[in-house]
Amino acid sequence: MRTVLTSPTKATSVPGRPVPGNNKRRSKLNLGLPGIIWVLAVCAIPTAVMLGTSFFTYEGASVTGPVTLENYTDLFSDSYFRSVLLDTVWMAAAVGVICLILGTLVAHFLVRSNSRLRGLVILLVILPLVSSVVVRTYGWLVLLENGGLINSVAMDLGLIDAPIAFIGSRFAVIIGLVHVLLPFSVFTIMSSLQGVDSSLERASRDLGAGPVATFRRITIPLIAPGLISGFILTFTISIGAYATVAVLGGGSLQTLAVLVRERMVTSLEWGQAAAIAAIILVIGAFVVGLLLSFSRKTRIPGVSE
Amino acid sequence: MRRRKGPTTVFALALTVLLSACTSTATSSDIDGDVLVVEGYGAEYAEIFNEVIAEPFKSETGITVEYQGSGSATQRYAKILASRGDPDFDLTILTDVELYQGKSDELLAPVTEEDVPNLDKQPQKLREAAHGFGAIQDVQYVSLMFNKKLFSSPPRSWKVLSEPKYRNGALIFNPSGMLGVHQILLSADMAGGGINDTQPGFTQLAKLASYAAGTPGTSAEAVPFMERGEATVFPYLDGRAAIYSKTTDYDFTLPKEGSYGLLGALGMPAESPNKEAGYKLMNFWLRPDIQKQWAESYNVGPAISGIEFSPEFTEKHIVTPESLERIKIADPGTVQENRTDWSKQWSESVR
Repeated sequence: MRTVLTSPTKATSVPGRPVPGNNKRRSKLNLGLPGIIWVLAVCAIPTAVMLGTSFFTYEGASVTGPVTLENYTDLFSDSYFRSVLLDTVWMAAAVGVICLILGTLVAHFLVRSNSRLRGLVILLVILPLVSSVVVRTYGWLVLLENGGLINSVAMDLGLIDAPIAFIGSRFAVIIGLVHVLLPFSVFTIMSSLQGVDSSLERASRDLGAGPVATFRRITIPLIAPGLISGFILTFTISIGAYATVAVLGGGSLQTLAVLVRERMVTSLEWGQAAAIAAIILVIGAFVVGLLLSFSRKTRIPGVSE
Repeated sequence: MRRRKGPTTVFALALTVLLSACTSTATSSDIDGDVLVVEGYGAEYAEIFNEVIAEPFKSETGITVEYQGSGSATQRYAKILASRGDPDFDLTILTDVELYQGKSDELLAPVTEEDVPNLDKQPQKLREAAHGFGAIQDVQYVSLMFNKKLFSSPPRSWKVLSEPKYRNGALIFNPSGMLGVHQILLSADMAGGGINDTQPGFTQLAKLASYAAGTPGTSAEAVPFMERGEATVFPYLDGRAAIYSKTTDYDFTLPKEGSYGLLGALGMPAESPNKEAGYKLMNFWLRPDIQKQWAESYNVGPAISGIEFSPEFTEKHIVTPESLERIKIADPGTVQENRTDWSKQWSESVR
């Protein structure tokens, strides 16, 4: 039987009766309205207030003077702030890259392997998400501190003479953040990998490519959108992370989020705190924009995301 | 035709949730009438406050004190600032630095001898430190905490912090808390500088940083270093120092060069609707019998003169006018003005 598809006829309005198309639109708007109000109230309006605050200088709670770029010029002319900015971006990028590599390996194992260990690995990946970030971070503190498990075992085995000062180092913060953020990376890459036809990889193997070459030349290009999404998520969360840095940074490691807290609560410089928060936002948005544009340019025709 | 109620109900529900999220957790019944909401430190401070201040105060006046224990004095002042003098508490525990800030910002209520008659029992030094916008209720000082196993007799000078024998295991406090600020000032004093010339202090701290056992942000964060016996010598407030001198191998002393004081202060937000009850609590806290109980329970010096303490207590805390003269009160204006710069210099010195 042949099915003929015809374009839907235009709804004709009958006086006194509601137009079906208009009703549909109104109903969709009604459904979306609570969500729109919620996003506006908890995200858009506070962000706008924060951005606005960054263009004013404050004396206590009172605004002094007109709209100004003073907060930004003060920050960028300060070598200390520039070094904290570079440090933060560097650490966030390192966390993003490590999560990307580990996430790809774990996701590949979970999607392509038939091993009985898959259940256990999924459980291990999900575990960090079911406990509080503060609890997880304090777990790392117990492991990494001078008298912690890692230093104690290393000293007992004679590998080191004195404890290594992990706490307060970038290493400790990166480890803590990778632990917290790895699930985001694994799940985004997994969803991409599940959309890749495994016959393409088998075809590559049949044509003589080894497993590494197949992974590099076939799998990675096909899952690139998932890799990019995973990196974006982990990078943008790490760049504004506070709790992990505050605990594992040992009080001596400064990042942009720690500076926001310090300017907001300790030195009560709200304009500068808002400017630093805006800079975090801009860096995140810039990286998202850059990677999404790269993703569009490298998209393989005919392959759905 | 029946109207579909689904979207409207969802919308109403979302709006209700939104409005409830925007309202304060404090209800009007919390703030008005015979309930005074006080916000201060948590943990043992809250317990002692309820036992020594809140319960006897209620028995005498019928006013219930609802105590909320959270955060630091700077965080509580930030709340006053954010709410422009109208936070969800009537009275709060601050330090002399926040009282100064509250006076400058006009966000704290003035406190006079007429409002709080027991202020007339305070030494002039403490009354001046309140700037007329609060009441000092206790005196702590930065003591030198030391590991008893390493010393046959208590160290007598702050210089012990940089001695090769003890510097491995010293602690350097972050200036996000006043203890860190005082350590910067002490280092500056020891190196020939002072509050207006802190650079020599940062040079000293930078040298010490490569040997230090840690850089705690708060006094509570120093506790694990004592429990594990890792810390050698470090500055510590006498209130907590007294607690841990009983439970660990550490003891504390006031070095010969003297030290800096940290003044516990009561501040009332300018828009508090319960000012009368707030003044009554301030006056109650400054009563000699309550001052003695508070000082002995929290291991701090009293804020009024003429109270008798045991010789052991007198030896360890700022109790007499003579011992009060041995501690300096850092000028809060200079501290506030330089705090951001000091934080930067500190971070650069210790990293």
